[in-house]
Parts: sequence; C-alpha cells; structure tokens
Amino acid sequence: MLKTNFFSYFSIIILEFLAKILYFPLWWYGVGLIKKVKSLFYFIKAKEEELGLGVWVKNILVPMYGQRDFAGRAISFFIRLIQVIFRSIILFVWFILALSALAIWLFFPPILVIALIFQIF
Amino acid sequence: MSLEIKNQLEFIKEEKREIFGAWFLGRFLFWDYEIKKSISALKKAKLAAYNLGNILLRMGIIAGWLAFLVWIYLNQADLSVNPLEILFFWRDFHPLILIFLLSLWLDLFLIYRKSEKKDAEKRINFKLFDKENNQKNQGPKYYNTLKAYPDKILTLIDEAYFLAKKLNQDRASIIHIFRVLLKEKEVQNVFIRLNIDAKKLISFLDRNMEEGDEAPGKSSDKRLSLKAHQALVLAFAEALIAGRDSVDTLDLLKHCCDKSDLLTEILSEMEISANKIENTIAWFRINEALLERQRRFSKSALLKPGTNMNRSYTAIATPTLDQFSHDLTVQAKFGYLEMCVGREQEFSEIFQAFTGGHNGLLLVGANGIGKSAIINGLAQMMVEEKVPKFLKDRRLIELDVPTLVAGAEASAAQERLLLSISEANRSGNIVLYIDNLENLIGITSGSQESLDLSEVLAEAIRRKHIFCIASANNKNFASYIEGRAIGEVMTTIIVKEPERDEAIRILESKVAVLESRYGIFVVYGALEAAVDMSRRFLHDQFLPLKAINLLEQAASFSAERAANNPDDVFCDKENVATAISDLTGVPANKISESESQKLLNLEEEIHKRLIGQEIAVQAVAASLRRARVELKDSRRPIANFLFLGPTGVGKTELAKAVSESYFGDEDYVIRLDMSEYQGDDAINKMIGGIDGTFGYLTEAVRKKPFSLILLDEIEKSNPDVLNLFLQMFDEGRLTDGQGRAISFSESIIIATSNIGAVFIQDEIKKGTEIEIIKQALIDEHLNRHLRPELINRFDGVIVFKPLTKENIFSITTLMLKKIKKALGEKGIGLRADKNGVNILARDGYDPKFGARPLRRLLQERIENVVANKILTGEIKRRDIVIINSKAEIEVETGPEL
Repeated sequence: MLKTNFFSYFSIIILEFLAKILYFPLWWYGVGLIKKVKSLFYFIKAKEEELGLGVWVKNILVPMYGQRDFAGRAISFFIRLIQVIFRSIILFVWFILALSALAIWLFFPPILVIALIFQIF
Repeated sequence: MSLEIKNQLEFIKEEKREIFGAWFLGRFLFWDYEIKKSISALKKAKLAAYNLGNILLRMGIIAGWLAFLVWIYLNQADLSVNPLEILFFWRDFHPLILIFLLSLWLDLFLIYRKSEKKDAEKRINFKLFDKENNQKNQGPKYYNTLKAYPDKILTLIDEAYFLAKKLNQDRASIIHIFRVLLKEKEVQNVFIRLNIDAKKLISFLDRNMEEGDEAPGKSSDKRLSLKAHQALVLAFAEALIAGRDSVDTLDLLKHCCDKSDLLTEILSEMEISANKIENTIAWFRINEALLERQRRFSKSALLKPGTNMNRSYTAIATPTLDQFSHDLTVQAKFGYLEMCVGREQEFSEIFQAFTGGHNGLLLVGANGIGKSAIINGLAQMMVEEKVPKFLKDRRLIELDVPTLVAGAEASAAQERLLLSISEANRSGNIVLYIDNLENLIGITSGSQESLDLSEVLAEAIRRKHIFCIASANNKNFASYIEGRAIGEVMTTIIVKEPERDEAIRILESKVAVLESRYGIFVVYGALEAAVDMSRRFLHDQFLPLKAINLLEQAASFSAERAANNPDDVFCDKENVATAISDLTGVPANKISESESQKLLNLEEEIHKRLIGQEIAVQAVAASLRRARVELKDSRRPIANFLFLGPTGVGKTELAKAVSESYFGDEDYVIRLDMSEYQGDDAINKMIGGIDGTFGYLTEAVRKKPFSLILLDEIEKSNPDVLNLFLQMFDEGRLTDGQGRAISFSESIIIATSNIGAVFIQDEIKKGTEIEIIKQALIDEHLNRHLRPELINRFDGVIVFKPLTKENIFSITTLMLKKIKKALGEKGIGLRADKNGVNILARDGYDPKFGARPLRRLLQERIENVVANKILTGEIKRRDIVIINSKAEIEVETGPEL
C-alpha cells in the first residue's frame, strides 16, 4: 500500500533520480547488453529466414521441381549445395555486421573514456 | 469484447480484507490509491522536471554534434587533403572536440533512458494472469490495478478528486473522472468522430457535477466512489485482455460511460449513448490494429515467395492451372487484397475442418455477407504464415470457372479441370478456391449434352488429392449443391450475417480508405446510419456489403459537396439519408427528419386536403402516434387500419392524405383493388409463384418498402388472400414466390370496405353515437365477411360518417380552389359567389354517393364551360372567371397590356 507523506515522497523522488544516473553504467553492461545481444540474435534469425538457408539445408536431398529421376536428383543436389554455400556466405556477412555492432556496444564507453582522458590530460 | 468483460467480472465485496473488486483469471482485482494534494503537486513537479531533463539532454546532444561540425568547418583545409583525418579527430586538442566527446556520453545516456522508458510503459505483468503459469507460481492473490496505470492517468484521477473537493463533494465519482478525461487528446478525438460539440458537453457537465455515489469498503480508498473503483478495475481487465502494456485513457472512458445514470442522462441529451462511444473507441482500436498489422504484414510478406514456387523449390510447375486461375497469396503479398476484420469464428472453423481431415470446405452464405473477405483474409494469413502447419508455405489459388469452361465443349472443359486438379495435386503446395461452386454443376457446352464437372472435383476431394475451399450462396447451395456428390464430400461452413455492432466495426475498418479516396471526414453517425438504414430499407441485400456500398455512395455525395464548399468535408447521417433516398426513392428528409414533429401535426396536415371526418382523422393520427411511440414489435407494419363507411365519404382520400403527410407524397400509395383478387389465382397475383412470376404486392413493396398499401374493398377478396393478410399484419412480412422475405415493417396498411354502409347512414340519421355504431358494425356486419382474428389484427377500425351539408360546402370550396390553381397557371383568375357555391354543393350532393357526384358536377358546370370559352377565345390571360350567385359562369375582362 502506498502510504506516503510529502517528505518521504520528496526524498523518494530525489533518490530515484540519483539511482537512475548511477544505474546507467550497470545497465549498459547488464540489462542493456542482454537486450542488445537478444536484438542482434533476432536480427540474424530474421536474415536466416529471409535467405531460407534452413529450408535449403533441410531439403538438400529432396529433388527440385518434382524431378524424381536420377539426373534430376543429382542436378538438384548440386544446385542446392551451391545455393547453401552462397546463402551461407551472405549470412556470414550479416553475422559479422552483427558482431561489430556488439563490439561497438562493448567497447565504445571505454574508448570514450580514453579519448576524454587523452583530451583533458 | 467489453460486454464479455462486464459479464465476466462480478464486482463484489471481499469479506476478508473488506475491499471491493472482482475475481478475474485467478486474482482479486481492486483499486487502492492514495490521493494527497501535496504529493500530487510533487508528482507533477517530478514529471515536469523529467520533461525538462529530457529536453536538456537532447539539446546537449545537438550542441555536441554542432561543435563537431564547427570543428570540421574550421579544419576543412586539412581534411580536404586527407579526408581520413576525420577518424582521428580525438587526437586534436580542441575545446570543440572536448564538447563533442562529452556529448557522446549523453547519446549513450539517451539510449539508456529510452530503453528504460519503454520498459516502464509495460505496466501489466501478463505472466501473473497466465493460468498455466499460475499453477506453478501462485504469487499474491490480490492485485492492485493501480500498478497498470501510467502516471498520466493517475494525475487525471488526482485532478478528478480535487475537482470534486472544489465542488464540496466528499469523493470523486464517474462524472468527475469523465470530466477530466475530456482534457485528453485521445478522448477529444473520440468526440470529434461522434460529431459532438465539446463546449456544449462540457457546459452540460459543469452544471451537473453532483452525483451522490456510494463510498467503497472500509480499507479501500474512499476518495473515489464505488462506481469509479469499478470502472478502474474493469478498464484494467479490458487492457489486460487486449494485451496492452498499460491501461490507457480510452479503456477508462469506455468503462466510465455506462456506470453513471447522470452521465447517461447528459450523454443522451447530446444524442450519444454508451454504445456509440464504445463503437467509436472500437474504431480507434481497429485503426491501431490495422496499422500494426499492416506493418507486420509487409515485413512477413517479404518472405513469401512471389512466384508459383514454394520456399524449398519442391513444387512443380502448373501451366494448365495457371491459365485458368489466379494466385490469391501473390495478390495478398503485394497488398492488392483488402484487410479482413474479425471473422475469427469462421477462420477457426476452417482450420478445424482442415485439421480434422476434411479436404473440401464449402462456405455458404448470402451474397455480400463476406465470403470473399474471409478468403482474402485466409490468403493474408497464409502470406504471414499464421496458419496451421499443413497450410504453411502453400499457395491459395482461385480457379476461374468461367475461363475454364469458356469456348470449350463439355468434355474439353472436363479435361481442363482434370489437368488442373492433377497439377494442383502433384505440385503439393496448392489450396484451391472456387467461388460460386454451382458454376461447375450441370454445364452445357457446345453441341454436347450437359456434363457435371463437379463430379470430377468431388472425386479428387474424396481421394484427398487436393485441399479445396469453395463458396456458394444459400439459394444455389439448396438448389444445386445439397444432396449431390460434391455437396456430400464438402464440409459446409455457414457464414452468418454480422450483427449490427459487428457490421459497424467492419465499416470502421473501411473508413480510412474512403476518407483518403474522397478527401472527406466520416463521423460515427454516418456509419451507424449506413448500417441502420441499410437494414431498414435494403431488405433484399445483406450486411456488411449493403452498408459498405451505402457508405461509399454517401462518401461520394459528400465529396461532391466538398468540391463546392471546401470547408464542408463531413460525411454524416444526412449524406447517408441522401444515398438511401437515391437507392430506394424515399425522400431523404423524410428519413432523417424526426417523426415526432410529423406525427404531432398530423391532423392539421391531413385536414389541409380532407374535409370533415374529424373523428376518423383523429383516430388515424392517434393510432399512428400510438403505434410509433408504444413499445411495439418493430417488425410489424407502422399501422394497420380498416376504414368503414359509405362510398364517397373520403376513405380513399384519407389514405392518400396520410401518405402525403406521413411519407411526403401521395405517390407512396400502393393501391390494390381487392375485387380483382377474387379468383383462385389471387395468391399468385399477389405474391408471385414458383414459376418465376412476380407478385404485384410483393414486388411493389420490395422496391418501395416505405409505402402506404391501400386494400380497396377488402371484403371482396378471396378468403385465401385474407389468410395471407393475417401474417402480413401480424409479422410484418410475406414470403414471395421466389422465396424472398418481403418486409412490411415500413408500410402503413389501410383496408377499406363498404360493409354496413346503409346501416351507418341509418344510424347516423337516428343520431346514434359513432362508437356504438362501430361496435355494432364489428359484431353484426363485419364478422359475416371477415374472420374475427383478421378484424382483431387491425390497429383501428375507423367508421366514416356520411357527409353533412357543411362538409359538402367545404369540399366544393376545396375543389374550386384546385380549379383556381389550374386556371392561375394560365394567368386566369377565379372568383365565386357564396350562393353560387351553395347551389353547386346542393346539386352535387347525393346521400348515397357522398361527394363523388360533386366532382362530376364541377366538371360539367365549371371546367367544361371554361374550357370551351378558352378555346373560343372568350377567356384570355388576365381575365377573371366568376361563378355568380346562380352558379353560372361569367367572365370579367382583364386589363389589356
């Protein structure tokens, strides 16, 4: 129950304000980092879905266009293999991009500190 | 939805804690919140400080980036030599760089604040109300709904309380909360859509702030009334069910509107109701949801293949099928199909049937009821892949039956169909849709005999070779499909006509498109009118299509008007009335004008053209008023009367006068001489036959539901026809030969009869009172010709008196006025001596035939003579025709020009 009076509420507000500022660095490497990792994970997942890599890998032995004869199967296998390789490369590029975003998140604050120290001293 | 919530939650007193609240999803919801002036002020100061902080933060960021730009400007000479230098800006010792580096911290801080703010907006913890989760983790049983309210609303609640205090009231009730809610933009928008004068509403409210509302239990906060607590708890439940992150102002508004009698009273003064507000709020929700869905849809549509191939490239080409079909999923992917609203019931039935192993589904429902909308919705769900697993990564293909059978003999058409089905089967990623399935049945093509293509389809479905959805309207389903092989293999899903509110909500989802297409602003009244008026006047069409078409027409009318007057872009009830009048021929002002005024002046209006018969006119007017005001069954006709009396006393004239004053024109009379309906074919003539002939009565009323049906000399009609009338008078509907239900709910039915004419004349002569005559007529004369149950169904049996000499004099004057008017159009005047008129009245009166001979007399003595004189040139323009004291014609020559 929220039983409060003016002064207690006032001090709560002030404390809240201070806490919010002090919590910032903790948040950055705690909750914030987890959120970042999650969002990058969903990003990669969306890209994978877009490329359909999983679907291609799963169906690597299934003949394309319903061509169930041997030649059809053989050609299909190789085409699918090329597709899988090609699509994996694209996905890998996206993965690298996501990793760099994560690196920036991790290393930007220390770099900023160093740059500031460098400026001031 | 809200109705469900209201029904689901029972607001009770919890004995243990002595608080009021409601059990919902395993928890006891209540509201406990302390309001103190000082704290409220602090809260406001806090919000203001945070807002200020946010502004400063953004300003700091902008300043930092500006400093960086200035640094670039200052160093442009060096940077133009080596642009890569910019990356090593931090090595330059410069105050501008220092500012920039410091401001970058603010950028990071902003990211942090925004993310925290977003989290803070998620005030409802859905896990607490998740039943499965509850079993594992009991958690506290009591839930203070306060937690789900954002600061903005809490500040409003504070304000409501202070408002009550200011008015010397102990606690804030619904009316105070409603008043402060009106300050919010979202709430104001609702009232703009309702076309409500906000100032008037506020002034009404401010004058009526006294509401003695009960206080809640012992330990709950007593600063709010019990009903306010109830509204706050319900608003929470509403937000919870809708899956919103926190309760918003519209949730609260919705649950405030129906809690207070005083508020209901004020709202009805403004011609709005809780239901209207609910529907308007739903409109905003629908728009939000559509936007959200559109956003999600375009995202997921990117993943759906735009060709006939599935994602794994295992499908095979379908060249034949492609020729005779089009791909609905591709159309949906590229946004060509309209978003489908609601219809959850039908979708779940479709998925259940497919999952249950039924390969063929048949949607059955009247035209315009939304079968295509459901199919479009299914295509969209397939694009989003929000479908059961076996429908994932499939295409919905509409088979174009007319193209399939075009230019081919029956056997060729069959071959085409067989090929198409076999391709669909082999391809493995196709769901076939056939609109109007009856088109496949009994096709006669070329010189060959008829061939039933549906058998081929039925076989494929029976063998589970394809997934197929088809649609048909009720009539075609009954005549062509039911009982055949195809009807047996397909599972029928009945698509029902949406209810009024559901139809309004479907319309709401279409408004944005109309508004942008026509450049107008649609108010809620227009939507309601479109649904209500289409239900009332367009009986042979179905919701929601008839209302959508009507609204579209109204929108185009208001767009036309807006073109002439750019300030007037509103599409409202009046425009819908104009549109319906365009479609049905009922005068627009008659639809929208309030009936009360019309009814109040009815006697006066009727007497403008009908002389005498005061008692009959009074009885008719009173009956019409009664019929409209009383809580009568709205399906029944407006009123049914039986007019009794000798010929020529004004029975037909009164019917015409009623039509003119009630409907605006005597053309609304549908007149049936019942002497023509004596034979055995009377019923066929009246309502049509199964051979396709149209019935005179049913066709006339179907085309003009707003009408006065005059059944002249009802006693002469065939007894079977009289039986038909029993139902028509009582239920207000007849089924015609084509099986259509024709509604008479907008008709006035008047039957006339000469039964007992001599008796009436004799009794009047004796001076018997009219009521006694009427009773005697009903008891002794009428029942020889009409069955008592029929007599009973008339709202009034009205006896017409024989005309008196004074009446005849007035009628003569009235008729002469008509002649005067006709002459006036030719520039000729008419003047009559009183003695002359008396002579005409005397000569024209016949106790047996009433006023009827008078018309003939005036024709012979006045009109014929004047006509001759005009032809011979004796009467010219500006002359005056005088009827002298001997009732002879004289001419007064007018001035020459």
